[in-house]
Amino acid sequence: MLATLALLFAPAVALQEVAGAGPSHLGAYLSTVTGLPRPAAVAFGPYQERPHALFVATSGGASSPPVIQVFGAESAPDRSASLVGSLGAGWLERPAGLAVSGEGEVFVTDEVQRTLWRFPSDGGEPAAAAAAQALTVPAGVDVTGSGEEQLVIVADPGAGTAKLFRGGSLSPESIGEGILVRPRGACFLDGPGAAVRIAVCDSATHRIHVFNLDGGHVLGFSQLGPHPSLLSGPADLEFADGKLFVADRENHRVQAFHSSAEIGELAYRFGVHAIRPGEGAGALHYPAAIAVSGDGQLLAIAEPMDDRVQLFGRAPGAEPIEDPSRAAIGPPAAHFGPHISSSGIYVATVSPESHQIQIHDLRGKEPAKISDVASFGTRFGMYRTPCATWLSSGGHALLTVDEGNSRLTRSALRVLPQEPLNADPELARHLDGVDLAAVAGRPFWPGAVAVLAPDTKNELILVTDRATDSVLMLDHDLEPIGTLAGDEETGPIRGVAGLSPATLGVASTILVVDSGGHGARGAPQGRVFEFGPSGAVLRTFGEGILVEPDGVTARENRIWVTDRATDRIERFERQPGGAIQHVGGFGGRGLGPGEFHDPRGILAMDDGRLIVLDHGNHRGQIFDPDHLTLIAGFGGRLYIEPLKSAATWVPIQPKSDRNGDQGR
Amino acid sequence: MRNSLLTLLALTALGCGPDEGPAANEAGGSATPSKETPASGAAEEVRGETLEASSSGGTFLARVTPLVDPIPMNEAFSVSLSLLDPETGAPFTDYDEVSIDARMPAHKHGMLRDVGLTPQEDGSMRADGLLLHMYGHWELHVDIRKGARFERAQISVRLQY
Repeated sequence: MLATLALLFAPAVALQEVAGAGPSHLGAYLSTVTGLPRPAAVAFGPYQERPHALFVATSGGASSPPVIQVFGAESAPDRSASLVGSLGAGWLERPAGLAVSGEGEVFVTDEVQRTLWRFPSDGGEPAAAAAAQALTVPAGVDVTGSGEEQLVIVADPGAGTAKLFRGGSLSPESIGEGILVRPRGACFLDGPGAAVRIAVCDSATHRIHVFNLDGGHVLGFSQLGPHPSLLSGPADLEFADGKLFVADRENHRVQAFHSSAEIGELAYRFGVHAIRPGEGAGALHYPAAIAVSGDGQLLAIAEPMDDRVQLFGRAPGAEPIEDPSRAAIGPPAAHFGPHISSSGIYVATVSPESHQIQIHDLRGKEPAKISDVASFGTRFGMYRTPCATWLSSGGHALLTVDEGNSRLTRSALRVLPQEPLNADPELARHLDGVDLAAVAGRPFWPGAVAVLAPDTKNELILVTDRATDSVLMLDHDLEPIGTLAGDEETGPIRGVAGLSPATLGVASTILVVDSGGHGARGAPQGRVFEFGPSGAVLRTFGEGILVEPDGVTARENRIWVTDRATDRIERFERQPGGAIQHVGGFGGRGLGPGEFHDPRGILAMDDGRLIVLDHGNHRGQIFDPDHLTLIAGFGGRLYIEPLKSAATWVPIQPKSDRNGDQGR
Repeated sequence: MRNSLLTLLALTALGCGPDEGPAANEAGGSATPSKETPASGAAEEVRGETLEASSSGGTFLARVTPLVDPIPMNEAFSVSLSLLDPETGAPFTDYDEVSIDARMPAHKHGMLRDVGLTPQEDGSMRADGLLLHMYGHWELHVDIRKGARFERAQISVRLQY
């Protein structure tokens, strides 16, 4: 698929006029490359005759496999940019980081394959640039130097370290052990004299750390917050212009920090949160990757949620001038997701931007928020990056998984179901918890949580671990009792995502989403595992249907799965004998009823309602799945209006080729 | 004894000025007030009411006695902290770390201070550096960590005009 370039230039940004005309900054919006299927990483580097080509690694979709697209995006007088080549098709499954050496070698990390590829500059086949198991779940990458002096740094959020490869060695040195938690991006920067240093952004601690090449920790700066110089989920960073440019993902902006004597001091920032759906032209929406061209004239921001890369250039002045009218608008409504849980009349959701768990009362037509649980911190009872939640016992018991502290916390909620609806800021009381990395005895990247047979002597607490693509099982006393993983017949889970209990006759089973990759031939490999209580794999289903599944929920014989890549909800039904068959689905990208943008958490309520966290659309949608109607929506006003204007919802019919028994 | 001296940073909070009258404390939640005889040889002459709470899993009993009465608003104060075996009443020592902190759950903030814990000869600990900078409902959190596990005892305190 060819990407298109929308040349939406900012007014009067004359690149050549800036040169040599006093101070300038790198943050003036130039143009947007649209139509990129979920761009995950960007880099600049030489490509054929172009010294500063733009490389974009895309995750792909149902019909577009992952690939690296190359654009001629140099700051030419006519600023033309066009697709000039591609590489990596058939080799990549889910690219996560991208860097180009001065000689044109392309380094790309793949988080599903858990490896680092090096594509030669002559267009030949790639070679692994990391030994097997040298990387746990790699993310951002950077390269400097060449030959024996070449250095490659890879952020490894799965291991909680960065990995430094020297001179083409396949065996890296670990950087930042005990300091980094979930490093997403890494880059080289100039240190004192001719020294080279390493900067790493940590999305769990919301800090930037600087290291010497020997691994010595120089300093760390910033912390969680929305104010200038504070960060929220920094996803990538790049050194240029004597500054560290940080993709401040959950603040929807870029911040440039000085890297010299005042390292960590904010130089300037640019970008505002997109308010209108799909808004761009300098407005940002979850910027995930950042790159600056070697000549310092172009800056690229990848926004996978909006399928685009925005380009920024230089402009006069030491810093961008903030639009006062835009600043007065204030922040948009929070996103919902990625997980949702309910028990009776209460619903718990993760609020990824406020780093809290929100408790809603569902007695009305629309959920009413009654409390935000916890505040930011590292102590027990605080969350650093809450990522999943489970509500049980009629809403009286809450489990929260905190990625940043690698911790499971058990809390009591003082809900009063017999009383009228009432907000209670003191709803939660934290009881006990467990350090998941300590109990597992290894780096642990928690993602989802579920409970089997709650409030019984057989209670089983399940927590997914992205670092090993498995599920840790704990008993009621939070003691580990086993692990769920694939077997010889099914192969391993390759991208563990959502969890849900299910039933098979009178027995309880466990559904585990495998978000998969694209496979060697570019075929999507998303699927769902069903495990028995003993931990044995009963079956898998969804192959050929699911592209990048995320959330799963089950009620009686029905199972629903969200798919981030297709923006759809797929529905399955258990057949006599236990096999699970795909029976339909609905969705597609959009704002209308039954349309989604990156759907994540999903929940089948006992009363029959189906709730979908429409993450990218800042809203949740509540459906009556029996009658295929939308009951209500909740969330951001601009995103709810399209739902209110629709009296009924007619779902998209499933494609005929999507039917069939998917049980093995 | 594996009691450790912990220094804990409380979350940054919005503070209020010390411009109000005297304060009183009261027990709430699961805490149970009781009178406690000062430890033998203790230097403090004035003690507040002892507050007790069982930990969430019943592993230990936390007993907190303010070494001042009443608890002042926006002034540092100390408490005596004892962890007891709920069955025998003997000092409870089966943990790797212990900490005490105070937070205002309705306001989502804690103190602006570090709290230091110093083991005492009688098996209790002296916690210095507590400071409640607003009137209202505070919760004292006594947390232990044993290996990978955390467990909390929580005691309510209300600073009143």
